[in-house]
Amino acid sequence: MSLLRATGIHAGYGGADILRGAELEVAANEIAVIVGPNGAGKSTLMKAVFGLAAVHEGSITFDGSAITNHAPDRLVRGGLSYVPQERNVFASLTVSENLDMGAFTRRDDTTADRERIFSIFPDLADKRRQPAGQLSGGQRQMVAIGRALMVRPRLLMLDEPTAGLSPKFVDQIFERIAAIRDEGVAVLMVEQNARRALHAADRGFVLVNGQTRFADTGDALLRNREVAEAFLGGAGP
Amino acid sequence: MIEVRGLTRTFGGLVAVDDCSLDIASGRITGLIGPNGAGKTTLFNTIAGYFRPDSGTVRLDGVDVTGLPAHALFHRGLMRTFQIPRVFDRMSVRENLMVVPPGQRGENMLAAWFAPRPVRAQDADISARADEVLTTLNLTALADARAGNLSGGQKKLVELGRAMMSGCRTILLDEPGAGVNPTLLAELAGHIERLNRDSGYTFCIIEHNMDLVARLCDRVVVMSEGRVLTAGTFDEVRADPTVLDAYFGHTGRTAGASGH
Repeated sequence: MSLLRATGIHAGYGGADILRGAELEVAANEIAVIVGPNGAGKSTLMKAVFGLAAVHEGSITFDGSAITNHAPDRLVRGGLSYVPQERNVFASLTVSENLDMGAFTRRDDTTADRERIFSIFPDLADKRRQPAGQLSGGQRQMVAIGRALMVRPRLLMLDEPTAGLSPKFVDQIFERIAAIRDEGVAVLMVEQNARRALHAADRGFVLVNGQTRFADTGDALLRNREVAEAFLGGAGP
Repeated sequence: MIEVRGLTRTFGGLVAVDDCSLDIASGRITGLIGPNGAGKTTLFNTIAGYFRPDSGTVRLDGVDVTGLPAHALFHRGLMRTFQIPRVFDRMSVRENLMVVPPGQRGENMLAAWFAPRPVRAQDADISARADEVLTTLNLTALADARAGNLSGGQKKLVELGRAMMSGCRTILLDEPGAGVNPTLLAELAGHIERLNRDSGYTFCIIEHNMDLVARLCDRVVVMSEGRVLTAGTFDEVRADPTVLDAYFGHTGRTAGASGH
């Protein structure tokens, strides 16, 4: 059964709707990826789920209950977590402080969670007292993902987690995302590194002009000639 | 041709660019790669006049331009684009392109009032050129949209479009590929190739997409921790064990096929 389901979504930021009938489904324990051309509405779809874009039509359910247009703070308490594309760390706070900010909604002891994040991202453990602004791009992205994990979400949403990262970090981020999934957190991400992301994904969606054009397993989308030519930069190797 | 010699730029105790020397050959496409935090963008900023170097020199076509501000370098034909696009949010996409060409007649108040015809003619000219660039970048449908409403990837394209409007023949591109859909990216690569081959543009490109670097770049310079680690053809640097370790990680062997 699906953890997150969005059906017939029309949404935008005032003005014309950017999404015009988008669909999405993510099951627990899986990685789902949204790919598509620039301006298709990928980030907007994620923001619509997270209450940052106004949904005018359609419905979103999480674990069976309606969450359409719920505010982000309420969604965080409900088990969703979101990492935006840019400006996703507090540059002047240390790595540890950034992680603590992620646990803002929790009243219990979060020390164990912080240590767990350091075990997922060992690079960060050595830098826990450094301001996040001094880290390299890849390490910042790890801080941002780590912060999002501090609330123990059931669904982690990532907007282009590998944009601007060197190949070494791209590999590491994809590895860690798979590890996070294996620990029982569902992952929904937007990626331009489309071929790579679909390889890692259990499920993929191709969004075009605000509508979901293809929905299938990651492998099936990679094999789909039409998808490959129009959205993945030509037929695969 | 840009010749960089012994360039150093520090921020407090941090040496971001440390005694860097490299050449960006005229009429070629040079790649600049390296781990995040290696100092690539700082090097771009120092070459293009956004930061003054602490020491070292930059020569553009034989002339010492060390420390000249960005606008002066722009008039000498050198410009850079930004990793995180800087568009005028409240102007249309076409207007964002039209403001780029320097020295427009309409910038002079007297000309705008007393010689409206040549001003209009030049405006029409520049507008037509902007439309050509928009067609090239698949942005025609968005010509009149407010630039602030574009998606992240579309803003990257506007950024590249402005470089194409500038008339500069030496262009430093900071991650043109990040956030751009692979199919469109392949087209962009084609445009960069054509500008280089047919019009003799010189490019230096910071990019993490190794397919793009392998396809476009004649020569690749690798930076790590503020210094130039090595330089050579893509295949040469990819085979270099120090580069493998610093940059590609354990999948170095397959990096050419890994997509982003």
